[in-house]
Order: sequence, then C-alpha cells, then structure tokens
Amino acid sequence: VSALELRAVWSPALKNVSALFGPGLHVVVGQDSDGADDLIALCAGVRVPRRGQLLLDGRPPSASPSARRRIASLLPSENPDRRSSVRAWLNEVGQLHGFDAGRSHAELLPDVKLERAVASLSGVELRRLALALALGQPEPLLVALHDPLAAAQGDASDAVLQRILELARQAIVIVTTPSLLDARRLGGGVHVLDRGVLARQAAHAWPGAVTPGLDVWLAVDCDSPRELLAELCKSPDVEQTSYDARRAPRRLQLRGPDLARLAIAVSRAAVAARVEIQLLQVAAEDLDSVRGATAGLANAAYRAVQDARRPGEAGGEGNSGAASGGAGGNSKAAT
Amino acid sequence: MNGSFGQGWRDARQALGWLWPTVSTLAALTCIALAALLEARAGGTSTGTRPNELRLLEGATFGLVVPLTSFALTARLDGRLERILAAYWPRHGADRRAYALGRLALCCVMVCAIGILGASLALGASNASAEPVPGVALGLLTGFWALTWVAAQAALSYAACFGLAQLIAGSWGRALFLLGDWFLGSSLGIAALPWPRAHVRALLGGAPVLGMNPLQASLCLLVLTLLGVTLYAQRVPR
Repeated sequence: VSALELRAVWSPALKNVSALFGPGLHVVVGQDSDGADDLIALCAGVRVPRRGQLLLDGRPPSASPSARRRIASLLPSENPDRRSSVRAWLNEVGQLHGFDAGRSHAELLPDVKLERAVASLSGVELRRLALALALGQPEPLLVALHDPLAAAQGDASDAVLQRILELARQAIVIVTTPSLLDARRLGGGVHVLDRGVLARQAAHAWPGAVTPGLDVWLAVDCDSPRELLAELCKSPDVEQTSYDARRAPRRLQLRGPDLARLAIAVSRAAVAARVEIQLLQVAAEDLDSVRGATAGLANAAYRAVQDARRPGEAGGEGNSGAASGGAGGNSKAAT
Repeated sequence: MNGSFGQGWRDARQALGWLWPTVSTLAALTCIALAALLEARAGGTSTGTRPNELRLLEGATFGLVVPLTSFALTARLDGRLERILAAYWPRHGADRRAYALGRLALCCVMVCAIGILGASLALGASNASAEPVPGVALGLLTGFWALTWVAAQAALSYAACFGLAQLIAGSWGRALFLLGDWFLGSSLGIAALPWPRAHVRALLGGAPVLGMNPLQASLCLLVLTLLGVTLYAQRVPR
C-alpha cells in the first residue's frame, strides 16, 4: 500500500509538519500563506524541505525521477515551455508519464485547440490544461492538486470532481483548497492547515466538524417567508432569524447551535405553515471561522492540561467541563 | 538520461534566445578590438608581436572577456537550485541532474566559442599591428590549435566554476567567485591555486603558480573543471 510520509517537514511556510497519508482523498483546507502551495510543491518534488523528510513509498520525490513520473500534480502557477504548441506540450509530458495526454485533454478541456501556441493561453487556460494533464494520468501513486475546483470552471468541475474521486480509490490524493465549499464538494477527511501547521483533522467539512462550538447559519428560500418565519419563531432550536424584504424577499436566514436540529426545525415549520421550500443552504464559513475554532480548541486543550496539573483540584469531570467550555467560549469569542 | 540532457540544453537555448548571444559576442569582440587598437597606438611596432599578443590574450581575452561572459551567461541562465528544482521537465520525471548538466553544457560551449573567437581576434590583431621581434620565441601561442585548447580549457573551467558558485550561493556566489578570481588569481602563491585565472596566465606564458610548468597548469585547469562539474552534479538532486 502506497504511503506519503511527512517527517518533521519545514519549508518557508510549513513548520514541523508530520503526517502520514494513505490511499484515498485528503483535503487540506488552508491558504497559500498557511503553506498550501508549499505542501503541493513538496509533494510534486519541485522543492526540497528545509528540514525533515517527505517520502513517497520511502523515496523523496525531489530526488527520484521514477517517483516523479508517478506523481500527478497541479501547482499554483504552471510554467511550461511557452514556445511550443499545446499538442507538443501534451505529447512530451505524456511521453514522460507514459500515457496519451491528448485524450485526457479532449475529455476535460475540449474547447482548447491543440494547434494553439502555449504562449497564447491565458493563465486560467494553462491551469486547466495542467489539471487535465494531471487527472489524465492512468495510474499515479500520488495526486497533489492545488485548488483544482477553482481551476476547473463551469461544467468541467463536475467531471474534475468525478475523476478526483475515481483516482482516490487507488492513489493518494491530496487536494489543497482555501474554500470550505469546495472541501464539502470533494468530501473525504479534512486537514486544517493553519499558519504552517496541520492544526487538526476533521471527519468532514461540515460545520459540526470544522467549526465545532460555533453556531450554524442556514439560508432558506421559500414561497412564503413570513409564514415560515412565524412558525420558526416557536422553535427552541432557532436562536436568531433574519429577513430582509427589500433585498431578498424570498430568503430567510436562521442561526442555531446544530445544523441537523436546525434543518429539522425548518422542515417541521414548513409542514406546519404549508410553505414550499425551494432552497436550503448552509452558509459557508470562512477560513477565519475555522481558525477561530482551531484556536478555541487548542486553548481549551491547554486549559484542560493546566487544570490537570494543578494539585488539589478535581480531575476528570472538571477538566472535561473546562475543555468543552473553553472550546465553545473561545471559538465564539474568536468569531 | 540523454533526453533529459537534451531537454536542459534546449531549455537553456530557448532562455537565451538569439539576441543575447549575438550581442554578447559582438560586445566581447569589440572589447578585444578596442584593446588591440589601444595597444597598437601605445606601443606602435617597436614592442613586437609577442608582448602585444600576451597583453591582448592574458589581459583582454582571458582576463576580462571570458570571465565576464561566463559571469553574465550564468546570471542570464539563472542556475539557482530552486530554479532547477522547479524546472518543468524534471517535475514530470526527467532526470534533473542530466537536465542541469545540459544547461551547464550550453553555457560551457558558448563561453568556449566566444573565447576562441576572441583569442583568434587578439592573435590576428597583434600580428597585424606589430612586427615580430627577431629572436623572440613565439612558442605555444603561435599555433591556432594550441590557442583553441587554452581557450577551451579556460572557458570550461570558468563556466563550471561560475555554475557551481551560482548553484551554491546565487548572485553573491558568482560575484564572490569573480572577485576571488581577480584578486587571488593574480597572485603566485598557494592562494592562487583554486582560481582559473592563475593557470590560464601560466598557460599563456605568464608567471606560473608555485613554479608549475604549462602541463601542470593545464592539469590544474582540468581538475578545476572536473571538480566544478562533479560538485555541481552532486548538489542537484536527481
């Protein structure tokens, strides 16, 4: 079984990152300033760690051409030979990796003509083409993609998503993205990359996992928002409602502590008020909320450890109470 | 391996384009021609071919043009480690070491070509501007092939050393190597041993380092080149 191992890796942005990634999809949520671009560059073998080791099946990608041939990558900025044509570029890369790159291009990017010069491609087209190349590899060991859903715009994003999930069945797929919405679309386990540190791991990218302790905002579009609002006010699971008749006459915004309970409350209220719901959407948290939640959790853990060290104080219950209270309190404060 | 070497060569050639080599060659030849003109005006025909020849070859061609061309060419090709690591073809599985050596090879060939052209011009200009002094032995420098050999050795050692300096310490490394070559390479003691200038001077008939004969100086240049290329290749991860 293939494995990508990071042993105390340092780079300009990453700080002492250790992790073990097996086959499957791993979504890393973070911005380039957090080290997302460094992580992909290290995985692609175009950079060496300042300290520590990054090993793909025991070999560092930066020092093994055969390992790099089995790595499909999409960097933040792609810089191929700009003097050749798209066809020549695809052929040469395809030859190095041993696959027909023209076919993957046709599947994922049919609107770009093969006769065009690479220099005539825009930055967006270049990234899309590089994404098509990366996803076209038949049997990669590692797929490292920097914000692929942003690179694949429009209709192509569904095909890209499908191909990523397909690849994740056999290979290690690492995707970095600053968007929680994209992380939700991708699914899979989520790693939060915060200021160069893999701060925590969440089972999924929904609010309960990435922003524990923070309230959830739900947007509801319906045909009679006033009637729905009247019913929702009776529910104890709804903490706050917001309705702007001028700007969005069909939209309600609700806040509550738990997404599932909030959604059930909306369903019950809709049945009671006989309202037809057209859209139910969780408001996407931004990275700052995630960072706030991470800081809150870290603070709570720190307090719990401090409390446990203090002599003469109660252990078990008091500590866990402090931990949960700390997490909630701090994360709310951060928000 | 060969494909990666060729890819490095092609990438370096594309990075240079045609304008830079043309302009740098013209600038180098102009510099040598100007030096020859100044020599001719200052000495007339009284000093003879041999001293003129030595000054033009040792001073203008191998003392100024070859080191500065190597310096500028290495800067233009930007052979820093991070650039080589991020190169496109090695990322997709090409052998990075062979790729980097391909880039360095173009640098060596180009400096060599400019060195040979410059040395030929210097030789021709000194012969045209002054009469040979009777009784002065012209020795090694009279043969075109000998001159080509010296130019090739000088160019290879300079290109390899500048390439290594750039790889290790970027622009600062290059600048320090240039200064070290100018200042320490001009001496005759043990401090002059690791600098190409000292051995090129000895090969051209100038003062030798530690009393070495031309064959030993030539061997020293060869060792410098091999050492530079080996360390360069070792430092680039495959």
